[in-house]
Formats: sequence, C-alpha cells, structure tokens
Amino acid sequence: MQDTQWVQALNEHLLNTISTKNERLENAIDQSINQSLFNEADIRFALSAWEKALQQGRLLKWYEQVIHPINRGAKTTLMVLAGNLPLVGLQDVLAGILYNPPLLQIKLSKKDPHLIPALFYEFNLPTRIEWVTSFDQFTKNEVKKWVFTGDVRNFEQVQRLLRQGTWIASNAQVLRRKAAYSVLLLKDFQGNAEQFFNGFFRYQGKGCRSVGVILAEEWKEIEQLIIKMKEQLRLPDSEESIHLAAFLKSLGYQAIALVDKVFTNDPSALESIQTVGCYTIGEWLKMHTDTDRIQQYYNASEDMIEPLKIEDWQKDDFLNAQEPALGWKADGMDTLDWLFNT
Amino acid sequence: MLNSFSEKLKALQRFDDSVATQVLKFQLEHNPWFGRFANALNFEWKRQTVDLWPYMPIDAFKRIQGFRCMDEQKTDQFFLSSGTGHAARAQHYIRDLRLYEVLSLATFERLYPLEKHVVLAYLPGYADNPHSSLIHMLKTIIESDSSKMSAFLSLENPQPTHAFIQHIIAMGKRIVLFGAAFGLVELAEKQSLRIPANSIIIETGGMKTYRKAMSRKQIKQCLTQGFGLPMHHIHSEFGMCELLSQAYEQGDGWYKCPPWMHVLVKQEEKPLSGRIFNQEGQLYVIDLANVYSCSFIQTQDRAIQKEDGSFQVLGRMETAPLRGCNFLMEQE
Repeated sequence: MQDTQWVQALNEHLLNTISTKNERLENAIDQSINQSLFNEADIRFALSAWEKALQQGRLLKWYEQVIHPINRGAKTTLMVLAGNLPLVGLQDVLAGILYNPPLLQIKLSKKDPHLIPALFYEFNLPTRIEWVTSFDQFTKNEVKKWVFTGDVRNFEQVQRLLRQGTWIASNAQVLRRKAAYSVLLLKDFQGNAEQFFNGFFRYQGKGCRSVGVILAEEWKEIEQLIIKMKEQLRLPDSEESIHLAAFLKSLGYQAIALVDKVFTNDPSALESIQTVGCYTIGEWLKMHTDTDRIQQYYNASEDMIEPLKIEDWQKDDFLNAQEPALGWKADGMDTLDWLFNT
Repeated sequence: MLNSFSEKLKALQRFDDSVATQVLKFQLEHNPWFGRFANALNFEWKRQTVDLWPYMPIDAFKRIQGFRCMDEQKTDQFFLSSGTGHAARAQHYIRDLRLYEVLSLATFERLYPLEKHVVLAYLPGYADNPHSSLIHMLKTIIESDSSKMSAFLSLENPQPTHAFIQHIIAMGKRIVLFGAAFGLVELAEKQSLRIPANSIIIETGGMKTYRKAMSRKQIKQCLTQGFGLPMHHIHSEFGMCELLSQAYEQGDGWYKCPPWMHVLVKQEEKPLSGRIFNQEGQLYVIDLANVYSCSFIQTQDRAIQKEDGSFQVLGRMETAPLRGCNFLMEQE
C-alpha cells in the first residue's frame, strides 16, 4: 500500500510539473535551447507526449502490471542514457525509480543534461539518485545491474570503461537498448500531414521511433504519398535534399526531396537521417537488413507482416509514432520488468 | 586532342570561364551520370554563373564503377584513394596519364623549378602503389629531373649520404622533401633525416590513420622543430585521387590553384546558392584537368576562401548522424 501511494504521488507530481510551467523545468528548457541542444518546439512536443502518457494514473498501472518478486531486495543500479531527442531516457529513469534501489546512478546524455533531472527536483523520492554527466563523477559501487542505451558498436568500450573504473561488477547484468529506426508498412496508410510530419521529421528524424524505412507493394505508391504530403505540408525543400535527390537519381535510384529529407530506394539510405529508405518488400528481403535495429512497425497489416517474418516485432499505429505509451517496450524489453525479474 | 588540350590549359594565365564552359558542355553530353545529375537539378547552363553550375558530390567516384565520360576509347588506368578499414575507396579512371603528368609537373615547376630544386620523396615506392595519384605524380617529377638527383628515399634508411647532400649544396640547389604528413612527423620525432636549413618540406596531408590526431598547425610546428627549418619552409600540397590538379600552400597558410583549377566555398547545406568569402563553408572545386571524368566537384571538406581565390582547408564536413540512440564515446 505504501508503495502505490508514492507511485501515484510521483505520477501527479510529474503531470503538475509538466502542465503548470514549473520554474525549474522552464529553466531547464531555456538552458537546453540556449545551449543549442534542442529546439523549443521539439521540447514542448516531447513534454506534451509525456503528459499524455502519464494521464489516468498510468505510472501506477505500469508498476502494477509488473510482477514484483517477494524477498528480493533491489540492487544499486546504473543507467547510461543517450539523448538524440529531448527526454528520451525518461522511461528508463522512471523504471529505475519504481524499482526503488538503494542508489540509482544515472549518466545523463551530454545532449540532454537538464530536462530529466528538472522533473524530479521537487519530489521527495524514496530512491537516492546520483545524476552525472561523466562516468568519473559516479561513486564506485561495483553495481550489479546496469542499462545501456546506445549504439551497439560502443557497448564493449563503455562496458570495459565501467569495469575498469569499478563502477560496475565484472558479472553485472546488463540490459542493452539497441533499436535505431521504425518501419512504415504503407498499405492502408491513412495518416494526415501532421502525423506524417511527426513520423518522419519530428526531432529531425533522429529518434528510434522515427520512420527510417517505408515498405510498399511498388515505388509508385510511395511516390504518390510523397507528392500528396508535399502538397499538404507546403514546406520548402532544402537545397541539400534537392541536391542529394538529384545525385541519387544520377546513380539510377528513385529519389524525391521532401523538406530536408530524400525518400529513395538507395540501399544505403538507412545510413543517414537525411534519407528515408523506400523499398518493395522484395527489395527489402534481398537487403538482409539488420532487424536488430528495427524499433517498431507501423500500420502492420497481417498480409504484409507474413512474408517479412516479423511476427516478433512490435506493431503500433502510425498515429503514435512519436507518442509512445508509458509501458512501451523498446526492443521488446520492458525495463521495469527486467529490473524486477532478471 | 589531349596534347592540344593540355597545352591549352598550360597556356592559361588565369582561370577562364569560357574554357570551363566548353568542358561543362562536353561533360554534360558525355558523362551520363553527370548529365542526369544536371537534368535532375533542372540546370540550364546558359543562364548560370560558375558558382551556380552543378557540382557532383565527390562520392560519385566511390559509388559509380567507371565514373567518366563515355566514348569508344578504352580506359583501363585508374587512381585509387587511400583506404582505411572497410570503407569504399574512390576510383578515378584516367583516359591518358600523360595529361595528368604534364599538368602536375607544370604546376610543380611553376613553384619549384627543377633546375633549382632536388625532390626527395619520403613515400612508399611506385611498384607497391601503382594506383596512387600522389606517388605517380612524384614519380613523374623525379623522372623529369634532368640532373637525376631527385629520388624516392628509402623508408627504412631515409638519410642520404653526406656527399650527396654536399653535392646538392655545391650545385646551388635546394632540397624539396615531399611526404605524407604522418610519415614526416615520424621522421621529425625520430630525427632520422637531416637536411640543409634552406630545404623546403611539402606535406601532403594524410593523418587519418596516424596514432594521434594533429592539426595542420601542430604538424607544421612538429616539422619545424624536428627538421630545424623555419616555419615558412613548411609547405603543403592539396590533392586527392578524384582531382587531377593540385593546389600548393607555400608557407603563408593559403593554398593557391593553377589557372586550370578553381575553388569555391559555399555555405554548408547550400549547394545551390552562390559562393561566400571569408566565412567557413564547404569546398567546391572546378578541375579542368578532370576533362574526361567530371570537373565540377562538391567535396566533403570544410574550407575558407579569400577574395583573391586562395583558400584554407579546415577539415572534413561532419557527416549526418544515424537514427536511434547513438551513444558515442568520443561525443559523450
């Protein structure tokens, strides 16, 4: 009973902080803008998405959904956050707080050092939190559980550093977050221009829930969609995207510039946020794309999923592209469940 | 045709828009990729000034096999960029090496006439690197020295004999030591090569595979101290496999082009806008020596340019980030 009261109180505190223009949070927003970390529109959008996610006591519902083993004390936990977008590590931080370890050590991203801590300053948490921006600021604890968010190519390097510094134990359990982009299955797509903008262009398309690939029966469907969105969005195409689209066409690929991105069937499109890969399912299957990096399939109708063999991948409505539910399982993993039950 | 074209370029006193226009027309017609690129940009050359012409991204040399003007002539010579790791390497097909040899030698001799200089190259030999444009250029320069004193130095034991150095001095000549930056830095640190105090060093860049990152200023300071030469004797060459011309910087920090090469700097992310001066931006090159491939190139280098056309290269452009949470040690 005690537990649920503070979880509910935390939920209300977060909603109040976001909705009432809390002074500390507003200062953190100003700092983030002044330091060119994020633009204001993206920060406000992220806060609004969290406000929706926290409605109707959802923090408590998430907490109660997870089985809590009896007699297993929470272990000091360390989290390495990576912030391509505002508040991107907040779900992990909340999971860490609900897990309620004696100490929660959080390495904030240098891209987002202000926003997340500002949400908790005025709440008396049962957990002691150590917020740091570089590893050497951590108290050495030989932590037994840690969460890594970031590019898998850097995982070994980070783990070695943390072990050498005795911040984590050599046998520490780790949850690795590794998703990179989402896929839109175009069949029956009914999104409007605003949803389209959020799915592709919000946060400059940097997020793992941003669409990096569109799959369709044929290129013509994608072309028609882009032309329609071009008419509705009425935003100018950047010189860079026009130039890049021309280059890709010269190489023999399909390519259309839209705002600051190029929609193309160039197989290397996934390597940059400037390009969105647009493929037929046949092309996609031939590319043997690293499915570990896929975050989410949007508008996944069953007859498109079957040939892709993506039954295990999460499906979501494109409407939710940048507004995930609180208990959304990145990589199919629920951090809260992992902390309690691993 | 080739001989007359190289003579035409050599005769230029300054960059000539009308010659560049001829080359542009030729390439739009004969280089199918460049032609498609310009068409996709809706380019109408008659109405555009030089800075608004189409500039092909330099990646074309990596992404297109056989990127060149197409005609019945067979082209089997090519230069390759130096590669690191598994990254794709640029490949530049050369119709006739003679054009490259004539023009690179002419550029060098305008600044360092061989009758007054002896070139010593501290670089791997030609036999091991037949596709290196830099080594081919050095081979050409060395073989053009009628005194036969210019040479590739041994990488294991680079120090020429005392008698050889004395002979160069007695002939009233100056040594020009040519080498990749990292190789010269190692020589300087080990002090394994001693050359007269009036010598000139030309570094050609190339620090990306070196054990530590160094700025051009640090490289020059290291070479100054290591070789005991004044700073203004440390020069630089700007060249790459995708360009058949070279620019040189002769100790004042600013590269200057031969008359058949022209550089522009444009604001980052503004490839379709006009040029800028005295502000950092992205480097674009017109290289008329690339007549049989593509002369109008958008590089991936950051640069700054003065109104007199001289320029500095400030490093590589930042590449666009990947999607997702990309925690990178170097950024964090």
